[in-house]
This record gives sequence, C-alpha cells and structure tokens, in this order.
Amino acid sequence: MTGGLHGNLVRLRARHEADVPILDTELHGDVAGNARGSRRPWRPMSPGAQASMNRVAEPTDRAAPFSVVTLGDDELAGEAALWGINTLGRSAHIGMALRPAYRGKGLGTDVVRVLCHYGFTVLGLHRIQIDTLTDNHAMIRAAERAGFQREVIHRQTVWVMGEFLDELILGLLAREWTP
Amino acid sequence: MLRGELVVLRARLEADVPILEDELHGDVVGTSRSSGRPWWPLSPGAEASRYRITEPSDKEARFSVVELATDTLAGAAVLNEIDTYGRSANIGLMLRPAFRGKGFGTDIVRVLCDYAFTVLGLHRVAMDTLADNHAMISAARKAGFTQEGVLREAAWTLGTFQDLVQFGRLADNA
Repeated sequence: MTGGLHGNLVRLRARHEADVPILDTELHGDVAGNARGSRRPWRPMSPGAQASMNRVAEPTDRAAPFSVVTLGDDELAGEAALWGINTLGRSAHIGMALRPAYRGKGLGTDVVRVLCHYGFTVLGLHRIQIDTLTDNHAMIRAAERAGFQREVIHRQTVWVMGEFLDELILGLLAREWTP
Repeated sequence: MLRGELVVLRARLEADVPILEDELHGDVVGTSRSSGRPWWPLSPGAEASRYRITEPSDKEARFSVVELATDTLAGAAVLNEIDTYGRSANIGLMLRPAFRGKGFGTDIVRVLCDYAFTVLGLHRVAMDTLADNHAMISAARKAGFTQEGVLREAAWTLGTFQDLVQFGRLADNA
C-alpha cells in the first residue's frame, strides 16, 4: 500500500483497526512513557475502550491523527498527529510516539518533516509548535533539524511519575520552513 | 469572596452579565486581543457568553471584580484550564474601560494566585498576553511572575500575527 504522506523513511497514513491493539499495548501500556507524553494520569484501559487515544475516529477540524509505517517493509512504527489545530491563529502542535523497536533510527526527524509538509502546504498553517519535556533529547533534535526554534520553557508544568518537569516549546513559522 | 487591597473577587451576579457583555465582549478590539477566538456578535443570554452565570466547575473559576472603595463592578477575572493532575491553572482578566490604569490588574493577579496556591493547592499558575499589552505584562511581573518565553506570531489579532508572551509563577514552597 502507498496511500498517504511520504517521507524518506516513513509513510503517514490513516489509522487502521489492526493498528489499534498494537499501539494500545506498546504505547499506552508503557506507564512511564505515557506519563511523559500525556497530560493526564495513566489509567488501565481494556481493549476497545472509547478512551483510547489510538482508536479509529472520524476526521475533525481540530486534529489529524496518523499511523506511521516504514517505507521499506510497511511495518507499523508508531503514531503521529497534528493536534490543537487553530484555524484562526493558523497554528497546530505536533505529537508523536514511536514503538520501542523503532526508536533511535531517525524516524522522528522524518515524521516531523512530513507533518510540517502537511501543516504548511496542505493545511496552509502559519505556525507549528512542538511541546516536549526538556529532557526529551530525541524529540528536540528532530525538531531542531527541521528548523524549529526554542521559544519557551514552562517551568515544572508536567507531573511525571512523582515530580514536576519542565516543558520546552519549539516553534517554526511557514516562512522559515524549507521542505 | 476573595479580598485584595483594591478589589474584591466574588461570584458572578445576574446584574453583572449585561454590563460585562456590553462593555467587555462588545469591545471588539479588546476581545479579539485577549480571547484567542474570532469575535462574534452575541445576543443577550447566549450560552456562548464568557460572562454568563455557570455552575461551579473543577476546570474553571469565574469571578466578578468589584472595586473595594465604591462597591462598583470593575470587570471579570477567571482562573481557567485548572488541571488537578498537573496542579496548574491559567489566569485571565478584563477590566471595564473606566477601571483601567488604576493598578487593579496587579491586585487581581495576586488575589487569583492566592486562591490558586492556598485554596486549590496548585503548584503553578500561568498567564500569557500579547507582546504589546504593557499593562498585563506589568501586572504579571509585579505579582511575581517570571517571563518564560515568547511564542512567535502565535496569535492572529485583527489582521496581523502577534507574539504571545508567556509567564509562570510557582507556589512559594516549590
């Protein structure tokens, strides 16, 4: 299959039902990882729950959720999204979580580039931002490689497994983006 | 009610609503600069009104601001985006035109922080404003907030993209 948005290493396509149990198990099931990426307390979740962040949903104007698959073997590598899409401010946020076996391979950088293409070119956005913990070096590196600039540090704003951590906001404007 | 040096913050009363809707929501420029949403005409009694009376909520605490000296309605203030997990919240306020430039903003921010940290037990309070809103920036600094950064061109404001300055204050025992 080839439908969706293509990068150099990955393809971003719509969520399929077969993706959901894998993402729920490997991403939601990782309690500590979930605490770092979510702004809600982790809870146990049964298969098929409506509360799943990974379930198949109708398109909305507020968020565009994708599944990430590898270009070579078409394997599910994780999930990625533009969320918080603001049609007045023409802005959105990037979110991403890769399955453990697909981390450290440079896929994140490619995912960020593909989401920027989608946001700036397809949606006509003016600004995209990435909100991440200040110790998430992989995400910060992926963002900076795509041209994002460090803009804000929200001090002690995220509760993660017993402590408040700082959050870094990186921003990229349409005119600064080079495909 | 919550008492500051210049103002009192109390629950919204029915008599406040038409005044706030006329003078605050009716101010197209002011509302466009502070709401993050496009301004819309709003009929009296509309559900969408930010100033209508609502039941108490875990997510948001809406106040009317009253001048202490005269017992007159001076504006509206809100602690919103209350997050009981991250123990954080956000401050918003808007004063009636006749009550601006009197230092009320600083007093309101202090009172809302006291409410957030002491009554609600929060860990962090945030506020943001346009880079040219000197009154709000001054109120944040005087009330002990630290400027944490600037979201570049993040707010569409009446024809241009404006920078949004972000402030945070942590609980004193943090």
